[in-house]
Amino acid sequence: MSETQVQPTLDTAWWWKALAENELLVPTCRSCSHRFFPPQAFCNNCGSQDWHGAATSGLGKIYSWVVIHRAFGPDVADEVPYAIVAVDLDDGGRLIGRYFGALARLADALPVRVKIFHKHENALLGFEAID
Amino acid sequence: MNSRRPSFLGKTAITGVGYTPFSRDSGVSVHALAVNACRAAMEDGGLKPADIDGIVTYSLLNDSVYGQSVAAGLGCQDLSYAVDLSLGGQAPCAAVTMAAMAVDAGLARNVLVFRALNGRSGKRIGSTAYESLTSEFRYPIGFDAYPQYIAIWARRFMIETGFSFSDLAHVVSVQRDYAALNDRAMQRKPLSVEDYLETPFIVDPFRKADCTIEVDGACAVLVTSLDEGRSHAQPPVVIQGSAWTTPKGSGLDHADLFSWPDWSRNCHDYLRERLWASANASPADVDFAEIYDCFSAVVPMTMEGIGLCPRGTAGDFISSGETRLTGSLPVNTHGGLLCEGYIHGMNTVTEAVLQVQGRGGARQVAKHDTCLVTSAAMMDGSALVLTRDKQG
Repeated sequence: MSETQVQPTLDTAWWWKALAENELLVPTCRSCSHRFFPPQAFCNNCGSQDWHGAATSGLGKIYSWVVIHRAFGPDVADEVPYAIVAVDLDDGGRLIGRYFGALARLADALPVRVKIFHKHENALLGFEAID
Repeated sequence: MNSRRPSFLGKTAITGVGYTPFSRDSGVSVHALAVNACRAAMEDGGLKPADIDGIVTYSLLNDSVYGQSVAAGLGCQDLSYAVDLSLGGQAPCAAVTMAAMAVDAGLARNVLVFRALNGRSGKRIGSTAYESLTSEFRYPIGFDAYPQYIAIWARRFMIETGFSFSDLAHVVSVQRDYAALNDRAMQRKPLSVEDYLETPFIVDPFRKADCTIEVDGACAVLVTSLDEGRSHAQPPVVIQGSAWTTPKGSGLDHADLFSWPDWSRNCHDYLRERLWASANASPADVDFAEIYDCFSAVVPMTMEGIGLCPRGTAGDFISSGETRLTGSLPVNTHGGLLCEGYIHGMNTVTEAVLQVQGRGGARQVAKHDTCLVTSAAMMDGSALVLTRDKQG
């Protein structure tokens, strides 16, 4: 597979399309209110197909992170060190994205906001530290 | 949910154990490795090819060969049971379980379970990109290898339990000391806590020494009934407890971390009750443990999850030496996957069998009646409780 190009599937294309239009949507179940990720055909809490892509404030807090000092994929070799953060959105859902901000600031519960960034003409999910 | 004790437990056993040499470049095919390890296990148990009527194996990304090819290489007459699983480190204890179930059900009498791979000179699982249901959400942002997925859980574990970098260093240092007693181990150099802390991060919070060593090699065990095993050439190790779990939140694939609610716990929290109930035993009965350790932090997360020590105490337990050969609960006596090499946890099972049989050599644990073995690092996986044959 290509490590660099996003290859949407029938279950995920709508989400990528919204992201490319600068909008982050979070799959949200109408049956049980669960917010889940990644986009998939069924709510991963209750199995319902009755869900929609809900808007989000894009604000959240860091749940965990890693700082990558040695690149694995060739595509990120000149980007180290960089961080990947798991973020719990304030309005629900846990997402993973690239971190934008000082590495020294990384800490549990650090407030962040969504920052959609672009690479190889893909819109990708990131988060930036809030001052 | 299973409340009755599965019928094969207490009535099935492992006897023979076989290995190929472990290396960075075996120079031989995976098929040759597989057959050689299986032949060694068969002969260790005192059997001949015609006695083997079952083979169970597992692989990832087509990195191994089918059991069928091993039957051909050994010269088996007719397998009545053959299973090829597409699984990683979750598989070894589950594969032994499938073999034991087949024996107990009367589908086979003597079943070989193996893992074989040229994991260093061939396909390297740790960093190979592969397409899955969640890969499009990981690779393009640069979240692209197993050390990262385990490290981001380890971070949360450290935040919530107070497990420290010094504690991580002790996990590694203790296992290095075991490896010094193991000729098979790829990494046998001692590493002090101070020297560990001086080494650079690969994926903070992990350094190189926190990661398993990818190797070429194979190993295998021979599974049979307890009755039959008593006539084999090695003492039968009784399969006393077994459990698998795929808890809610396991997600879509081997690397779907997104759906898992609590990253400070792996699936052993879910395996715990099922495993000990299946074995009619408790963590207090365990004399030593062989814990799947693709990365160092999996050891304390597993120990706490499966109930070997209370939440938040594995760091002190390990750092105070309790998991050493001289401690109250030796853990990963071969040096673990961290030092012996990554045969995807099959070598965690083989080490457990050798120790229960009293064949641990320089690293033999003093008391070896009851052993815990695990095959899991993240959302799903399996575990076994193995015991010495009381009649032996």
